[in-house]
Parts: sequence; structure tokens; C-alpha cells
Amino acid sequence: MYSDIVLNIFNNPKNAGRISKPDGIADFYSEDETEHVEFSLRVEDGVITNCKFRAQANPYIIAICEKITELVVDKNIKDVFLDPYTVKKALGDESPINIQFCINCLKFAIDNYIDKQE
Amino acid sequence: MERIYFDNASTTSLGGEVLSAMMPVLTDTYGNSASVHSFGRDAAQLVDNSRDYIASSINAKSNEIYFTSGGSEANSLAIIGIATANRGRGNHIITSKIEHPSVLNACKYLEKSGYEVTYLDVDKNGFIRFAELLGAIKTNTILVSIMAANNELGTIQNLKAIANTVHEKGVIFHTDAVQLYGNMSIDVEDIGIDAMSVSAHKLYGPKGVGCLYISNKIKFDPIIFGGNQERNKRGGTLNTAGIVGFAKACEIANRDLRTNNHKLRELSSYFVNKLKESVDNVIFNADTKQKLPHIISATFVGVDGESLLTKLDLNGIAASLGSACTSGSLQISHVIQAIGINNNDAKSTIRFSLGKNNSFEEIDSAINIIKRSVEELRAFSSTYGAKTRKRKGDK
Repeated sequence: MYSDIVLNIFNNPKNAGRISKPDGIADFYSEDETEHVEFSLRVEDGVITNCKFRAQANPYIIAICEKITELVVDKNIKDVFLDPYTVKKALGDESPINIQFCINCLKFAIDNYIDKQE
Repeated sequence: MERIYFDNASTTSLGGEVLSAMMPVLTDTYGNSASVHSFGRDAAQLVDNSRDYIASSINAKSNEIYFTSGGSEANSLAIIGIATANRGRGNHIITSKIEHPSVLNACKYLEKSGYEVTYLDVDKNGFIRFAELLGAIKTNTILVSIMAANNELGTIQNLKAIANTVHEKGVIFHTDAVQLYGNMSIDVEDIGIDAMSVSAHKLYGPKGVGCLYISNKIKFDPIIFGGNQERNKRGGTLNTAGIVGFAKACEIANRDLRTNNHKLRELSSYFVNKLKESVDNVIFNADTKQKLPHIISATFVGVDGESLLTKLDLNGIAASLGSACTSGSLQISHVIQAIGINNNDAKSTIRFSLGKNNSFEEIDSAINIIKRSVEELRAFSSTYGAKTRKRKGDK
């Protein structure tokens, strides 16, 4: 059911976990409340230097979360722009599974960092 | 990698004795059982013998057995066939919320044709409530269909009590016994079953064959049209080899009933105890003695069931999310929802269904893999032991 790429990432996620005392953090449920994800960020001078995720979700969403953490590292928070197509393309697997809630979760983690600065 | 099969409620392996019974039919007795020549008569004789055996195993008459392509067709034939033939008596059907999709979808199909269907709730163990059943029966009720043993929980309904209740109101009683037959002796006369579905591949028989028992007293229409096979009630050339294998599987299941039940009880009890010892925060659903012991429904708190199944599969263990039909469609099990489990926990629930060919050594290996997989997933679970905010949405 899942591609080899998804299964490999799912089975060996490198950025799974939570950053201690994160600069930004958020968690989010999917619309039907069956998947739950969390992103935590380390931000230095406006640049995301580390990003980790935790999830209770299916293998595809876990692989998507891992890919999001890779895509945002070294990006200035002002330059982070993710859409489902970009993330799925980076994963090399364009499953029709809805991943917008994962992207929303990352945005909320960034908003959480910005809120703390203000 | 050692592979371990804990998905026997989805399907079982083909028994060696069953295959031996089928092989000469596949190679030599290839005549059409409806043909009048000797090739056909040879095949018809095998079909008749098989029908006689299956009928006698449930205390039915031979002409009350109709061969089908399996359990789903038998359920569809029972629901739609009885409903249409008895339309003059009423248009109301009662079933439960935890039936197999072949029953639920047949009912939905009838709803589009003007039939009214009541879907009974069940309690936390999957039992229907008699007061609710009694209250649902109306003057226009023609059929009650309640499954004998649930495919996801193993819960065995009180069939005799249901039959009595239903018959007191003059209503027909059908039961989907696909999971029960072969695991418990069933006497349709004694229990009071008017129609019953059975499938061969759940009892170490071949896939693609099953039957509907339907009492001679009950009127029903065909849903597959063809020649005059099965006394004009089910068109299509009969699957002679499959039917012979089906009968052989029934014979073996009945012969070994006591031994197999004893082994399955021992294996299942060992599995549950080992899992309880090894993994924290596991909830066992349908915690009742009135169930098939080999069907084990377990909720692993804080773990996504699909991710756990995938990890197990990568390590050679086969289990399932719910029924095979539900797993394929990636939906939350309607059965698990019906027993009152919320969406999040429902997604943490998987089914292990043991079989007579499993061993204690396999269970030992599997429990180690389950323990490791659960620990790996809980290590980065966003819900396990955490307070989460109900912020959600895709927009």
C-alpha cells in the first residue's frame, strides 16, 4: 500500500522527537481527529536551525512530517512557504491523502515562535 | 525472515486434506454438474454428496443448501432474496450496526428501493440488546439479520434467544455464521435459524465458495440469474472442486472441533497474557467469555494502528486493522465505533486472529516484535501520555 520511499522514512525517521525548551511548538489534529502531529522548532536569528516532529499517525503522515522537518531547516521563518504539492513532491510520493493539517501545524509552530517574540 | 500469520479471521490457509480431496476433481471430474452425460453426472454426484454432508452438519435438509461464491454472496442472497420475495408482507428489515459490509450494503441497496431498515446499537462487548430488538419489530417487519459471531470482536450472539424473540413476532431470522461455523456446532432446527450464511475459506477450505442454508418454509428470490442451477435460485455453473473442498473442510472442522477449540483457547489465552505482561496500556475489547477466543481485538493507547500494522508487517507478522474489507478502504472500523470507542482509540485498535496452525513459539516471537514496535511508535507519539489541544482542521 505504501511506497518503498515512504516505508523507509517511516521506519527510520531522523527527526522524530521533541526539541527541549523549543522556541516554537504546536500540535494539530486532522479534521476527522484520527491523526495527530506536533512540530517543535529551534530558531536562531530568525532562521530555523532544528525542527522535530512527534505523531500518532499513519506511515504516510509520519513520512510527510519527516520531510517537512527537512524542508524547513536553514530557512528564515519569513521564507517558509509550504504547500501540499511541494511536500509530496519532495517525498516522491503523490498519494491523495490530505496533508494540509501537517502544514497548518508547522505554521502554528512558527506563529508560536513569533508570538513569544512580541 | 520468519513470517507469522495472525489474520485467520480474514482467511485461513488451505488444509492439506482439503487440497487432496480437490485435486482429482480439478484434474479428472471436470464435467459440468448440470450436464446430463456421464461427465456431468460424476460431477453432480460429488456436489450432491457435498451438499448432503454440509446439510447434515447443521441438521438441515439437503435441498435447503444453496451453494454460492462465498459469504458475501450468501448474505446478499439472504437479505435481498428474502426481502423481495416477502415484499407483500412488509418492507421493514432489522439488522445491527456491527454486521459485515455485505449485509450492511445489501440493506443500503434495499433502502434505495423503498425498504426501511433499522440498525440496532450494540453494547460495549458487541451484544445486541433484546429490549431494543423487541421494540424495533413492527407489523411490517419481514426479516431480522444478526451475525452469529462478529468478525472483529469474536462476540457470539445469543442466537436461540434472538430466534425465539423474532419468531414470536412471525419474522424471518437470518444469521451470518461465516465466523462461527467450524468453530462451534450449529443445529439450525434447535436454534431456530431460518437462513444462515457460511464460507469455506474461513475454515481451511478454498476461497470462492460458500453456501446459504435457507429453510424450505421461507420464500426467497434469486439475485443471480442463469440456468436452473440450485433449483432455479442461483444461476451459474457450480464450482465442483470448490464445493468438494468446502465439504471436506466442514468434515475436518467438525471432526477436530474439540481439539481445535482447546488449542485455540490455550493459544489465545497465552497470547493475551503475554501481551498484558509485555506491553502497558493495552485495552482488550469485547472482554466477555461468550466469544470466539481466537479473535483478539486490542487497542494500543497512543499508537496509530496502521503504523503498528505496518511495523509488524515489515517484521513478518500479519494482523489486521479490522475486517479485511474495512482495512482496504482505510476507514475506521464501524464495529469498533459501534462499541463506543472514540475515533482516536478506534485508530489504535488492531485485530489478531489466531489459527489452529499457530504455535506458542510463534506467539513468543510475535510478542517481542509487538513490544518493540509499540515502544518505537510511542517514543515519538504526540498523544501518548501528553495533553493535546483540540486544534484541528485542514483549511
